[in-house]
Amino acid sequence: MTEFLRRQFEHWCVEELLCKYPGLRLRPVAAREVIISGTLLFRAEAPDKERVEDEYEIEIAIPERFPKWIPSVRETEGRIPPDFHKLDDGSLCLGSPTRLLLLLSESPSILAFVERCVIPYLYGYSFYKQYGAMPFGELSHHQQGIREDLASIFGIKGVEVVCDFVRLASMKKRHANKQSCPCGSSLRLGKCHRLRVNDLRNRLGRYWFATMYRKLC
Amino acid sequence: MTTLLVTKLLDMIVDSLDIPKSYYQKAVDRHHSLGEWLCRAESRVAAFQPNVSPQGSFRFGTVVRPLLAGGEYDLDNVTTLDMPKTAMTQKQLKNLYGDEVKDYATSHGMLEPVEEKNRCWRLHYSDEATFHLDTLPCISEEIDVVHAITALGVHPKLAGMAVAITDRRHPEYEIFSRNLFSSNPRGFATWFEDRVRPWATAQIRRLVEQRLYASIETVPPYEWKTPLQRSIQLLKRHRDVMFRDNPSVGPISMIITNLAAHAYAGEPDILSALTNIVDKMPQFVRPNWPRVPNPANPAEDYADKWTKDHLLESNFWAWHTQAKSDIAKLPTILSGNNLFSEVRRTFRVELTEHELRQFDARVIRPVSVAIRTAPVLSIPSAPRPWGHND
Repeated sequence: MTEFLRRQFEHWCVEELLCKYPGLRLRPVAAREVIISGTLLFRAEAPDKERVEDEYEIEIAIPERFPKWIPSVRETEGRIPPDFHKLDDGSLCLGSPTRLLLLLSESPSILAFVERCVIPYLYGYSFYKQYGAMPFGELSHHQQGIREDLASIFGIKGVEVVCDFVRLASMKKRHANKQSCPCGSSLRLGKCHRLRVNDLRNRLGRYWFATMYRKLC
Repeated sequence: MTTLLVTKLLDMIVDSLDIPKSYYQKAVDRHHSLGEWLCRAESRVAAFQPNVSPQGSFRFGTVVRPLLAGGEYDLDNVTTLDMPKTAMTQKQLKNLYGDEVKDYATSHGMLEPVEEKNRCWRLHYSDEATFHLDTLPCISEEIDVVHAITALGVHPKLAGMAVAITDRRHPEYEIFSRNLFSSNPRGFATWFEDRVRPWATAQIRRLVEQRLYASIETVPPYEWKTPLQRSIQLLKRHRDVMFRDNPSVGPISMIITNLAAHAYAGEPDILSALTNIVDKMPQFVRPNWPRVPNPANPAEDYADKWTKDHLLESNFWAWHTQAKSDIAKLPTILSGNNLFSEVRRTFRVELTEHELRQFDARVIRPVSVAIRTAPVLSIPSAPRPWGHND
């Protein structure tokens, strides 16, 4: 991290984040991660859902390889209990890794990450506490939850063929297109779900899906 | 209107960071006192015609109060000795000078021992304001070195102020050698004063007309109070606050002062100066060595430690980004409800109720209403959280 960090800060829209959410501040850099912490004040609303105003003390650890790697976010005041969508290390489970990476591939800035992943999560918790329901729904535990989200990402209804789609996304395009499409259409992928699979492969890379395949299937 | 108010707020903050004029006078007295001691007949270095020259923020007029009550003020000076480089080893020169400085400390009743640093000796004063003085022994640079600096585009007046310094880390510290590290603190100070002076002429003239000084030449830089000097004070304070838990990893004052002086373009007030300075500062960090050169000796890199410790550079950019965003949001803070807490958080300055009322009565409302300033975010869709344990 040298002058490169300056350009990273610009690309990540760090300054815009700090201006828009003045309770957040950069912490001195002590390792390879960049830490932003402080009070995140927000007013948020979702379609057909009540507006919520709230504030949380948070800490965002941005890895050197952001946006290819996902930042880790912690709520530091202990308002959110350990059994509410948290990972084993206590950080917030904002969504399935593939979903988060797709969002970051669309908007590779820390400002977008906060507004599209962190605030929706915190809004969801505040909403849940006030109204007893999750405004955007929630995924099942562990790998089942990841399969459900991948099914949604690939645009298929059941989770049974998710692994087949993940395997095709992990293959080179010209090989994958010759395989039969797992959706049951009896067509080869190149004549069926080609656009969706190719788009995902282009955005996240086939190695990401190879990793997912090894973990899930 | 907002611009005027923000300017007023910044001026108010700098005023509270400023030190009493008597401290500057005290610093001058201490440099003179040491100079007189070194020049007395029985001094070990008297034969080398010691010349003591003040350096650092007390010379530039950019001192800020320490963050914590009882914190020390840093005084710096350079003592140039007239001798050839090969007259003695670096170690002999450092110790010869150190013995004289130790005697000075003893004869002036200083309780703490004189401390040896890599390049200088540190004297600890202790009275109503705690100072330490770093005094650097050096030798005027040889003419071929001065010519080499001039050949790099430095004005001969500045190049001629280059000095050779002793350094305990130098591989030839204990042997006779012409190969000493070169530095140019006096050249930098002169360059800085030359940069600032054109914007200080009105203030200098005013002080002379008020008969506070006999002539324009005798008005010291700490009286100039230009937007550049005041901006540097604010930036140094911002740095002090951000790195209060580990000051050694924050950007050093010489880098901030150097870059700010380069970036300043004569803005007439502190807000426009500060905004321009933080905006332009990055342009003066070179991509290759020397990253932040001394304008009076481009071969001297104030950011030389960045190469060995990349975190130092990372922290420079982190500080710069934070400072830039803090300055950009000043108008918003002023129109919000938490001016007191924002100023305290950013600069560790507590504005009085009287000061706050000069802006608007609204600014002293309690922090709890700050939530009203949060932006509204519309969330059309969001990732579903995963792994909920019922």
